[in-house]
Amino acid sequence: MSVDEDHALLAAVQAGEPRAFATYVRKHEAGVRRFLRTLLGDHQADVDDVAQEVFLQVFRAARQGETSMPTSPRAWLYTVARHAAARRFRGQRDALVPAHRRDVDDATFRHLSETPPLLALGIAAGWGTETPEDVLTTRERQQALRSALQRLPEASQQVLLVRDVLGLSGDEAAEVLGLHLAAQKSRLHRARLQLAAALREVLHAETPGAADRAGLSTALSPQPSPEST
Amino acid sequence: MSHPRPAPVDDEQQVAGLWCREVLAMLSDYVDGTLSPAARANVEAHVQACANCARFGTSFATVVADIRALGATPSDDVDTFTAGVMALIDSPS
Repeated sequence: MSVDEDHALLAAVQAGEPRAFATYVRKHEAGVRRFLRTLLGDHQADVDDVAQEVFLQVFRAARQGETSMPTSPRAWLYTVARHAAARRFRGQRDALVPAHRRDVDDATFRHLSETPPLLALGIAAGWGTETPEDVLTTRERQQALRSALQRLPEASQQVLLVRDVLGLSGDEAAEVLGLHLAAQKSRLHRARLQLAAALREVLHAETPGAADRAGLSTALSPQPSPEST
Repeated sequence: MSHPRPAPVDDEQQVAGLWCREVLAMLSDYVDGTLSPAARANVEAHVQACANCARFGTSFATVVADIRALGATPSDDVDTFTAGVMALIDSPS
């Protein structure tokens, strides 16, 4: 439905109704700007400029009828955004990596390298830890989650953003990120485990003893809660 | 020759043909619905019999559900930003 709506809006632009593009921009500006924030590192001041470039490029392509080809307008849009971010700082090595992260990207998880990476990530995320279930409010969870997201390497933030926040399919995300599907899937799984681990750290920092409150609902297997307090 | 596998938890077990760490590796495929029916059934059988995987699987699925719920709501300045783009479009280039 969303894809159809994008096709319809871009077709309207091609048919000479530029105002349809305002609807398109309103629909996608938050996602594109958020994606660019993860891509542009220290250059947050450039996010809106680059986002405008992206939409301008999309508009011109739509007006010229180039958008009848992509099967996924969303993947195309975010690919345009990725290229625009790269073009902005072409030739500037490390320009897109925030200064404070250039030496520490992945360092958060480096100490876990003595064990198989996925297993290590699982352990960091609380796998194998006996903890009571507890409940945080949705608002508390979302605040903690946003803090946890900020702690992740950019590549992990990007795959979580396009797959889980923006809801792109695996194929779409692979196209946007320039990865093979299998690599995208692997990166996504690792990123989710990193997020769960970072969430534990955030909750530990904020409320000692609350690190395992991330396990909250009965999403996988409904079981009677052993304790209520 | 099979590689020795470290035992991160004392009670890791094999249930429904899957070790706990194998379930760990399949959790994203499970929550994304990309497992085969047989593999999905094995994961569910394992989780039903394994308290560790039930607990962690629930926690993992909740984290995924929570990040999905963040969504991409319009920015506070959506009107200003959209107007800026439309002004660029309207301006002679």
